[in-house]
Amino acid sequence: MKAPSFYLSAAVLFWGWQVHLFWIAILLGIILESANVIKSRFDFQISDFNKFIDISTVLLAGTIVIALSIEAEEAIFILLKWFPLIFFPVIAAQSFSTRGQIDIQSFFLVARKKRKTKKYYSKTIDVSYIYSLFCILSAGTANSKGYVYYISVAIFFIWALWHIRSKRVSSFLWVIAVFITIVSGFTGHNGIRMASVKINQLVMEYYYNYYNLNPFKTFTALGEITKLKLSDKIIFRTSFDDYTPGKSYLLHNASYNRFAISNWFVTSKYEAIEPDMNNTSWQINPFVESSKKMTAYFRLIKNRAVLSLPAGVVSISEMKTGACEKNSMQSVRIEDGPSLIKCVVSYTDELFFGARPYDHDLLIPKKESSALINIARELGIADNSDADKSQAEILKIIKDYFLNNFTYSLDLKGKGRYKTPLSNFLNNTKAGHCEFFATATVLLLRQAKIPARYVTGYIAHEYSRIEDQLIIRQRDAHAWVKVFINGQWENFDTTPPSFFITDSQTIKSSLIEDFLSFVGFKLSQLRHETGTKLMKKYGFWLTLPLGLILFFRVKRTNRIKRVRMQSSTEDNQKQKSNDISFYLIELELSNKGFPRHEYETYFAWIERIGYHFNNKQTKNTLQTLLRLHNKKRFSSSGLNKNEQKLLNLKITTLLKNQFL
Amino acid sequence: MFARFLYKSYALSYTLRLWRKRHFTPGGIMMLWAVILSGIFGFNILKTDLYQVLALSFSFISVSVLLSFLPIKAEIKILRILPDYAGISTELTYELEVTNLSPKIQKGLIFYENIHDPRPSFKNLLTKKEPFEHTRNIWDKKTLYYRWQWLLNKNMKAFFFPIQLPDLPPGETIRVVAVLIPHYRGYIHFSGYTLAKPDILGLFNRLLNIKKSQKILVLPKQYQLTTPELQSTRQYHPGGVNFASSIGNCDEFMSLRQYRPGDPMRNIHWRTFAKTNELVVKEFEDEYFVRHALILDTFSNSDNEIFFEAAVSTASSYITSLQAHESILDLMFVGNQIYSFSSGRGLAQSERMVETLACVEPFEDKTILELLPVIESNIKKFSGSICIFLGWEQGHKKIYSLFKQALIPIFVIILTRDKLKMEETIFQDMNHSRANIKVIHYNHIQQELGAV
Repeated sequence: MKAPSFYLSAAVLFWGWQVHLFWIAILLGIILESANVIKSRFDFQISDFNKFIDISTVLLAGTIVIALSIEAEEAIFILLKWFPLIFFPVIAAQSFSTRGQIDIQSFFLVARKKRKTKKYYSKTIDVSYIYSLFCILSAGTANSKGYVYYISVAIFFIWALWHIRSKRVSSFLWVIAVFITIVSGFTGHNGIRMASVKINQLVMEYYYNYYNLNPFKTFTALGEITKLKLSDKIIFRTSFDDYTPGKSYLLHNASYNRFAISNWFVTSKYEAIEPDMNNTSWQINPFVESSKKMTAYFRLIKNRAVLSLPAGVVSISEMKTGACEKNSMQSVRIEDGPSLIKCVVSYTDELFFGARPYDHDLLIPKKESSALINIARELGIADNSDADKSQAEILKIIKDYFLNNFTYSLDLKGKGRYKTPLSNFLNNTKAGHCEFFATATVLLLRQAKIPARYVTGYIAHEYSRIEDQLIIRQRDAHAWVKVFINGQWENFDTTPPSFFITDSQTIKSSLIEDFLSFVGFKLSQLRHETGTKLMKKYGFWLTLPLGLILFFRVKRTNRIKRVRMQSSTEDNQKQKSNDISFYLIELELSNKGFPRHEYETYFAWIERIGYHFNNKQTKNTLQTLLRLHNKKRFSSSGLNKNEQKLLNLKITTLLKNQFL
Repeated sequence: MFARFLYKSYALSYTLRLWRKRHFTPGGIMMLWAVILSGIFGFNILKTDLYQVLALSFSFISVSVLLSFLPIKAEIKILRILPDYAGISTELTYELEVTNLSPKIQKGLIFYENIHDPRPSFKNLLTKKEPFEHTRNIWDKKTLYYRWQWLLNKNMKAFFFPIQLPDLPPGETIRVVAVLIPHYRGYIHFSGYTLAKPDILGLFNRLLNIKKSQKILVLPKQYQLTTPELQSTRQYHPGGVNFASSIGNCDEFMSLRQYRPGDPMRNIHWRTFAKTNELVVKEFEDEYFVRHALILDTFSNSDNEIFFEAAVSTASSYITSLQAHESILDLMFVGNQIYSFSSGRGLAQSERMVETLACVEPFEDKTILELLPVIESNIKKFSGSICIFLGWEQGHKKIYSLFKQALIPIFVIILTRDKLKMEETIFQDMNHSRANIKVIHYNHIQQELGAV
């Protein structure tokens, strides 16, 4: 199947337009179309086509290397994007060859060997439609998300199908069928989009219910942070513009507002955030002037991550992720991206973006209330309805209470003889880690009618001289409280301040592991960040060896015989202009199901099929034409000008009128 | 268990491939590829727009399939005009006489030949071995894919090509040329034909299957061989035809007997008549024609089937070249039973013998010794013998010595892969008289036997 005129170049132009390589596409299109104008061809043999396919294979290999070094996760899309350019030598070779088709086995190395050793029946194909299909698919990688792509693809499909439609079918029926198809395709593509969203939700649900390591889960159990605290593994790295030695930062991961059966839950749902044009900048909250900046490198687990961010995030830039979502509690999660992802965060360090407090922020589980009421009464903050103490005073009382009566410990004591682990912590052990302090604080604040939320995240405090940035280990996981006072949310931490010294003494870090982790980080950075920049800047030079291979290939192909089709075609055209052959009529009638038998003379043939003609005059006309034709062929004088004109005119008229 | 799973998978994949080839037009296959590729690359709808191509191409395929349910209103009669024989690897053209019996012109129909199910049996897949299978890697040996493919091709016997029928005017009969390329000897059994009608969009065909059994025989490959000179002791003696050496010829006196009406007068023994006054006629030895034996070794394991094929081709080539002489040829080989065919001098046509050879299969569970009794009982009839062997073992040696002892000229061809090794073996066995034993590489039959 050969693609119709201009189809191939139109597909190439469409690709160029979509992937912003329009000028290259114009050049390719001109080369392809010039094959219709230039009347000389190369007499490429199978071995020559093999060479062109080899060139494309070398280009493909090069592109794979470059794509993998730029962005391994995106390699397949990068490859697809450049496909029309990679396989251009093949389609150009076909367009300028005398054969106009390529042996199918040239595409397979094994088959080429087989051809040398075994008897082989040649099977050739025209790759113009295949190439056009790849142009269309490659254009899809531009991800323009509009209807332009759909409409364009539909036009290309209709164009191609019109040329291969069955002769049995009337044009009207064909148009109706195509219309139905396009409408159902349009409905279908919307369906796919909706189904994809639904499937995503179901997957999330699955993770929510069954998969504990899911970074997106909407609950946390008391003790989970302790598990994290038992490891000194560096999990992410960050640097702050305003960092001064000794300063620490609370990086918020998730906030929870409901507590039950020793678990914190969040009821807030995530909403998608639309990126900017480059798909790298994400406006998390409405724009406000923010002077602070944090740069962080996160690792994605199972292609997902919940970001640990400072308070009051306005926007995140330089983040190459597929999707970014946020909930009203200011948790930000991302999905789809390289394993190491860079974020440049603009933030205000204030909590005014968080959702306003509501009923859930004052709820106290019944199981815990008895222990809490006693302590609240003891502290004189129980049911602070008379507002005899200011909120600031209450906070101070609670902070002092924990500071003076409780100690920090990573040992989990369980619930002992009490109903819950929290009651045991408050009444008996009076020792625990951040989760207990934070939970108890939230519930005590709620007891005092102050809305409060439980927050998990990390505390960034360890500066690495080698890396010149803050490193955050698993043991830096922390839980604290968000309290709503004076009309806004504020961070409130009652865990004894010495807790990270205790942690670092309990869980020793290993220099070797840290160094290996740093090397791993640098390699990842090289691959995902520096490598990308370098490849963008200097990647062109990688094509130099490829160019050399290409050069030698082309040099070898110079031996190919060039066939000048011009003379024969010109002759034919000349002949055609003066002499429209009677054979055209024979061909046309043969196609219509009236072939002439080999044993039949032309007159006998016309006589035999004569009764099929609608117009009886046609038979006579054909006989007249045949006489003229015979005179031209066999008479020494040939036809005079008038007779030749008559012959041409009658043949043209007959062919136009379809004479049956 | 695994082998059965493989067998079922291959059988299913063959059925599906055939279904796909017949149902999808080239445009349909392109559309199918659009569905597959956009499905693979466009799986993540966040990354690309390819899901739009997926939706559109899938929609085209679905609508096409639905539209193909519209019935075919065509009454077409096709008569296949086949020649008697076809040759291996030579393109065979034959004619189809297509008659449109419906009142409407029929356009755009595609014609497919149907043959009997070529899928090999499970037992064959397990027991038969593809030529040179030992050179395949472990994976190929375990998966049996290439063996399956080889057996399938062997059973199909030829490559067939679909034919785009021209427009068929109502009531008209048109002759269309069809082509097939045979690649294995034996009968090609046509079970019928299929007419495909593309749907409105031109992507999916509706099929109309018509049963019409016919068969054509593909003859073994033929070489241009020089016939060996099987010198008999009485060659170049008078008699009009060549005569047998061991029994006698027509002018050799044997005895006298009483005249019976109808006896030729010139055979009356006048001296006895003069003495006894009774008519007595002379009797002579019976007249025998030169009778050659062609012994074909059919005992080969499936690993060596390529030698067996070469042997069949060589035998077939000798049958055609020896028939130029006025002699009788006895073809002997073992199939399910011992076969001995005679042809020439009015006994049977050599074509029948080649037909028999076209269908001969190799046997693994017997040896060439099975042929010995038949050869022994008939050996007196023969004036020369050509033996085509696939090895040089006890049975072969016995046959050889049998002819040698009976002083009957014999010419032995041994087909092998390793010519030098075989020649060395024969040299050790037959130190002196091995001039009439020719070891041939199975691939160089024409080069070596053309100049015997």
